[in-house]
Amino acid sequence: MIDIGRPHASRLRLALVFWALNLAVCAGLLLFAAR
Amino acid sequence: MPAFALIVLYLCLVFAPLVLAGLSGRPPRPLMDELAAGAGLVAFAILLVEFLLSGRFRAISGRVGMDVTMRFHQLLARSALALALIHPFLYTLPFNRPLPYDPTRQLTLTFEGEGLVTGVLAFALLPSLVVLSIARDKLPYRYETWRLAHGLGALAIAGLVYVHALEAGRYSQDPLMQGLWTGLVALAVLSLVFVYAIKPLAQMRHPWRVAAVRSAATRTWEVTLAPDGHDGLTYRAGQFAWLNIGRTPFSLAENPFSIASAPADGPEVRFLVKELGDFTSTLGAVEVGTRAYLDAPHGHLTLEGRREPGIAFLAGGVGIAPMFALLGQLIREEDPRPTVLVYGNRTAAQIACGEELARIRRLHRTEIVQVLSEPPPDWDGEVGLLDAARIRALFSDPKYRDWLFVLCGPPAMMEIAEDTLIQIGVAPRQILAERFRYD
Repeated sequence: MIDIGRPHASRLRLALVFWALNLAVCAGLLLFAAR
Repeated sequence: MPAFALIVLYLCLVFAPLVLAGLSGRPPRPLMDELAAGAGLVAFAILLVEFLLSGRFRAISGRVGMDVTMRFHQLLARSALALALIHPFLYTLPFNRPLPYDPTRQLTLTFEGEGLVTGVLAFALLPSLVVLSIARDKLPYRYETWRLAHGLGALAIAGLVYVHALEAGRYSQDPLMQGLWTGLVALAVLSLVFVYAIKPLAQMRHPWRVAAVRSAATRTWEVTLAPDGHDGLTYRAGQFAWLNIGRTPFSLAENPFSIASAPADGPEVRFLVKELGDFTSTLGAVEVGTRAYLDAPHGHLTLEGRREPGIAFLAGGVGIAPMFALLGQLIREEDPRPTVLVYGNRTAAQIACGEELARIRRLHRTEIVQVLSEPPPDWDGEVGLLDAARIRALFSDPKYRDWLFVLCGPPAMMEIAEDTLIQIGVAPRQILAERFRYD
């Protein structure tokens, strides 16, 4: 897995995008389930 | 912004089943049951998107880079797996046969026959597929065997989930949702057909011949290919190709190698290949005239559009290959920018193409810093590793802050180099790197 703690900008950016996508999916799932 | 467009496309594909389910008109069930259904729908959508992230589609990997494409392929597989694993355990409704007074299946879960068998099989197979990929390096299988098993396994799981969704899924009873799944599964199948049938067929029309094989350094071969009956390859210096020598284009035995020649050098393409125990160990025995095929060009390690005032190349071992291409192109274009090439090896015998390095030094006045960790007694270059201390010593001068840094080498070297350059103030956008190993 990506080590988000390292000062590695490209990997950090990639990790942030990945977790932002996961967050968006979770938010979408909650919206769907609670509709 | 191409990467942003790809992210939006991904979210559209992943949310499409949720939107269709929401618009289906079926009354919602308890929150946990809807979460369970949603997790299953999203997991299936991600699984199908994964087929397009295999790294062989230039429309994707050409925009964000092969590294990022492959990394997302690996990471999104984990997301799909997590959603698939929680999907069956969130349901709270009782299992029962469809009730005559419940046409929308709001009150019970139907889970029997094909829907049950396919769901259980997919639930068992998906973790295996992901774990076997993460642990690939530790398994006693050749890369080609793993690649075949991975593709067929993924296809089998997609087929199983497709049947499971249509048989057991509540929302997948709707024609629109069925159309979405059929379309996405067809796209997944087509992606495999494209990679394993259409691309090889296209390669058959553009064969290459081995024009020369010579030893470039200890356990490193320089392989030159000449186009056979066509004009050659349109590529940019620094890109790489999937190389297949002496086998049919349908063979899975192909490996990625940086092209060491520059487009301006002519139609022949040159590769530096290090023996790593697989087919690369037999390269020395390859005869001139042997047929070869290329899936190319791939990769984004190019200088196109880069306007930095100077360029530093940091290469470890056979990672020197794309540097030869990039520096060769700069020489041909008479690019006036200053360049520094730092080239690390263990022994002097591992230094590839010494005469080419001398030519680069002469024609482009490139400052070449050779680093050996096990130097011979008469060595007049740097001694040690291409580590953080050396990179700091070489590039701490503020004049390098605005330069472009191009990295290619072993993963550990690249990570140290990237981290150190960022620490001394080089902006991440000024660092170009491409890896060829993915976990």
